[in-house]
Amino acid sequence: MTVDLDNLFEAERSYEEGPPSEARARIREGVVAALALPQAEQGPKGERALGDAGGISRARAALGMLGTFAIGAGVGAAVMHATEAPSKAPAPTVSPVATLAPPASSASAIPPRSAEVVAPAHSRPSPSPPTAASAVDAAEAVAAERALLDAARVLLAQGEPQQALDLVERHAKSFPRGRLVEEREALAVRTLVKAGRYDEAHKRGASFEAMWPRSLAMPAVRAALESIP
Amino acid sequence: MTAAPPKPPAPASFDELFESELSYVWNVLRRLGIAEADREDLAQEVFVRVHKSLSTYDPSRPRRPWLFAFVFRIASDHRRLKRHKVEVAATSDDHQRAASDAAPADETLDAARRRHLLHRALDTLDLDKRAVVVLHEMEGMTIPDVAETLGIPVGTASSRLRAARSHLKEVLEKLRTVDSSVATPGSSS
Repeated sequence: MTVDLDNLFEAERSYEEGPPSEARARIREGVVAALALPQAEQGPKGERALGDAGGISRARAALGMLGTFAIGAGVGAAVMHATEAPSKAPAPTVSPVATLAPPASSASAIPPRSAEVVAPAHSRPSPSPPTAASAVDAAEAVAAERALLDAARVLLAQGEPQQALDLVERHAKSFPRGRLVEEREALAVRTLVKAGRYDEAHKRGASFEAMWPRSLAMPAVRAALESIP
Repeated sequence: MTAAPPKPPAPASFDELFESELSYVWNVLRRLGIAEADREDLAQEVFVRVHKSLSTYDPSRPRRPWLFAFVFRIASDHRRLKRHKVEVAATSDDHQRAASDAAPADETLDAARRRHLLHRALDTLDLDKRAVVVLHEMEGMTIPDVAETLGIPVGTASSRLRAARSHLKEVLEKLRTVDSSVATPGSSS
């Protein structure tokens, strides 16, 4: 008797197998660790949230408006304009602390902004239950971070490391506990190397390795440091 | 696109994307022949790469074809590294386990056996053909959509599907003569 191929496909088509719940939890933890996502929020079952892709369209819009950053409405709607040439000294017009403020209902206090702008941010916001408003704020903050770092990357590629560095430092001032801190620090090391500031590059690279030893950006950071003549 | 399932709304967060699509990713890995022992690592890699590529995600396009491309690429790299080779007669532990884990009802046991047989045959396909089969025969995608998802010409997708079906039929005939109990309808242990 001939085995009907389509009959077999039908059996497979209607079958779905998801990962066992322990595997699901391990995969989630693995993703969190690999991306060094902030442990700010708890998921619905108390597990760590994976951060947001949210406002992807906002991120794209932010890229389209390179140089204009809108920080979330829920935190005071502070708008930072970077319409002046990037080579001018950046003057942040918004309190970086406010950009990552948790919802008003949260009892956690935001520590004062650190004066340390070159060191990677070590502190993380206190966990708080995610709300729709905080998700929107967080999404817009990430979009603003993304736009800053993308602009810095473009400048670096265009052979303007000092201007790129200005934007990197602006990110450090504005988003000391941002979601893209790891990415910023990797970019900082590369930018410092291109700007010829080798001692600073080495120091920042050492901090990076201490903070994120298994970072996916580690090879790029090491390559930048090894390229120092 | 024709006969496409309704598009889910764009994910509000990466967290939501992970929660809603992990099973899909796991299932695709399974259908592409990735052993269960390797699926955790590869599923993790998929979501890491997805996260890094989020700026390229267009929420107006269907999500699963976009995800499938990541899974396929990662499965390909994995298979290349492992230099995966399967003989026609070989039976993987996964498929034996899958068959024995079936629910007790006769029809489900028969369905499990059919899936088991199909996967044994699929294991003899190269991944390029297998991907076409998975997308078209199991996920119900049209050939033009399969071609777009895999980034290949429509003609290539068609000819891969034809070649895959022809090959699978031959393999199944061989397997039928090796294991005649599976081909007999209604057989149960």
